[in-house]
Amino acid sequence: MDPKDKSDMTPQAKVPEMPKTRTTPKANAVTAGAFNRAPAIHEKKGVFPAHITPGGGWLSGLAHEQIHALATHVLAHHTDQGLRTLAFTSALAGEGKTTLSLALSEKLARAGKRILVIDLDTHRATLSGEAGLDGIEGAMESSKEDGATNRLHAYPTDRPGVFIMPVGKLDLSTIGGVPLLDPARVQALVQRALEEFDLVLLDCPPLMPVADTHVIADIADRTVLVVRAHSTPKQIVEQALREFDSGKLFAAILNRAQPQFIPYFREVYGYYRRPSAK
Amino acid sequence: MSGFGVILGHYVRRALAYRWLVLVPAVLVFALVTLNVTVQPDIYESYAVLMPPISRPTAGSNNANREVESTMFRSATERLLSARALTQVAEKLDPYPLIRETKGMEGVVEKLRENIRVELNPNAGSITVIASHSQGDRPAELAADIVNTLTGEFIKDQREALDDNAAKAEQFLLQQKARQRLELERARSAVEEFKAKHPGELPDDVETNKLEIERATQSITDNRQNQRLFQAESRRLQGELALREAEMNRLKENGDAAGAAAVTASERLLDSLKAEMATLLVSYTEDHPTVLKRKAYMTAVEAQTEQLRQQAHGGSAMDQIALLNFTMEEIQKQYERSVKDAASIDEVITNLHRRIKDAEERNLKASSLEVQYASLNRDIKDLEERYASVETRLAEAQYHRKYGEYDSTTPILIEQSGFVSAVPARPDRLLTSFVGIIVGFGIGIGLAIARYKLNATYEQAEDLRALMPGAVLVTIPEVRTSGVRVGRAIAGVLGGLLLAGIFAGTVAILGIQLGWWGDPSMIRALINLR
Repeated sequence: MDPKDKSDMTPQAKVPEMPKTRTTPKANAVTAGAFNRAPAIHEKKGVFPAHITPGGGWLSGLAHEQIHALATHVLAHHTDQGLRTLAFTSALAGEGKTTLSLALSEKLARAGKRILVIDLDTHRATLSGEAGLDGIEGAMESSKEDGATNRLHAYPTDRPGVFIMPVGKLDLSTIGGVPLLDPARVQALVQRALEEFDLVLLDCPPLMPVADTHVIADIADRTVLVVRAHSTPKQIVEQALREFDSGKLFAAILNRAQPQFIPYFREVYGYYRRPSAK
Repeated sequence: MSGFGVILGHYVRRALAYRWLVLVPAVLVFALVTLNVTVQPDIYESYAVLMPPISRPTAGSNNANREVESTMFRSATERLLSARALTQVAEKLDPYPLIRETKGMEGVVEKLRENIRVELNPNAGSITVIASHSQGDRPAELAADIVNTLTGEFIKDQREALDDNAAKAEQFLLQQKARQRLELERARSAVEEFKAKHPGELPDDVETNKLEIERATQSITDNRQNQRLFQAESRRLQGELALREAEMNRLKENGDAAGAAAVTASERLLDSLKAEMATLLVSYTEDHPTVLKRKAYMTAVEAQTEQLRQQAHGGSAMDQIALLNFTMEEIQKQYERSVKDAASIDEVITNLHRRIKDAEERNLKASSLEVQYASLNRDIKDLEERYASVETRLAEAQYHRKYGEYDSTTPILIEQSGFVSAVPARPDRLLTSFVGIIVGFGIGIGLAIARYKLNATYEQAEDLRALMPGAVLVTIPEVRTSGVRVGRAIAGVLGGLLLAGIFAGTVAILGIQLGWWGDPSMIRALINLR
């Protein structure tokens, strides 16, 4: 879809109705007109990682199980410690932040939570691109206005309970390029989102090239660090972590690991093959 | 799982991850090496073994022997590869006619020098002469011809040289023998002169002198004993003379013993008659017949007594006195002889003492002459040994020269003549290919190890745990889409097939070359076509 076409899309006045079995009481309380809706999202396939499913083979099952475990931890912290904002970052770009945040959001939504995934990577806007939401209102626009009157440009997805907020309209051709993230505005955006959603996942830019993540990490309750196996140099990860508040580090995800380096993967193999065989 | 199992699993996982890194170099190096040895020409080798006929130890240390052998081997090598020897081979066999035409005989000799090598085997005590020959249009047997001609000429030259040397050695030893003989005779003369100059004073005579001293001492003791015996005899003879003299006086005075006894008996009878007469005269008168009768009887006894007395001093006593005189003269002679003998023993003892003293003096001189005499004798001994040695060497030299055998350390014989095997000596295709695949695996493993060591990325969750203690660790496996999976599988299969094909093709070429299957000449024909 051409981004220009999407920029002309009129935000929906109503949040799409969620299936009753998946809708939480809070989701039903969302006020009309608070969300934009991009109908194309429903039609677009492949936004969510299709390979992280229980029926996609043993490796997919294993990946799904790992996300399931992460979601369990998140829900436990959500319940016990009030964890509501989780930032996804990595040392370098392309390590799988967006994919894993979407996978986690789907998993959390299956637990009955309303999840908003905000694309805050103003540099690459991967989530926005993959969701087909380039060039339309998103985080930038949602944080321009003040306080509770902000309109959340969140778009529903084909996964009930999962909403995506693209990065918004960015004019990278102008002098100055990528806008600076104002901590106060991001804070206000998150606060506003938390009024409507149970959990907000922030898809951040990588730590090393960009400083935005440090701002976002301060605002988020916890941070998830994604490390791509066999790719990201240890030195860079260590350097990134030195400049990062490790106290907020919630989880580390080693992504795209070769199966033979996963402990007991052969035993796990048998376990996850059987369901798919049926 | 045990610690070893964990470590093993760790490396097995990495080996699996880097399997292509190992397999590709292994197969490629194997293929390249095999192809390389395939296009190389067959080189046939022939070798001959030269060694001394007998390996007997020579005098001196092992190091010295080894040095001698080493020198001999070096000399043999130089002679084998000398221009003269190689020229002989080139003239006899004409092994490289093309080179001869273009570069002349010098080029041929140079080519031979390239293709002939000499290996010394000090442990085996042998020299191996190896000639290699690339077949070309000449038969493989040329290698054997070269090596046999070269070694044959070498042996021939060596025999001539050795024969010449043996003749010279014999001549030299003859001169040595004459000189040693002269020196020995001189030394012996010197000793004889020395002996003549110092009779009994040589260390050799010391024992003789000691024996003489012992004997003289014993003789003195014996003589003293004899002297005492002579003295006792003279004393006995002196007593005997005195007895004889008394006997003679008695005889002179009383006559012989029987007469004297008769005179004594008669005198005793007369005395008793006188006593009876005195008794009678008491009772009777002198004229009484009894008295007269007695007187008459007394007169008769007196006459008889006188007659007996005369008879006692008569012939018998005289004879006895004459006998006693004779006996006494003999005893006197014996006595005098004994006295003389006893006196003469003193002189003998004095002589013996003088001999002892002389012997002792000679021994004293012998000790002072000992060094000089020993030196002379040693000279003789040394010269005798030298002479014997020269004689032995001369005899050996004459024998060896006569029968064509030489000193065992110098001559070298052909232990094994050269021949050509049906299989080319080089290249050893099987071994080279085997080494190629091993080296390829080594390179692959080295690359894998290098990649593993240089790998600075995270491979498993454990790597992250130390960095982020307390954080939830999640490992998401690489899940490829079906398209990617199929693509990678196809690529893997194609790659595997390619590698397997390369490997199988290489093995096929190698097998044909080695004659396992097919005709090896087919490969050669293909190479020639190329």
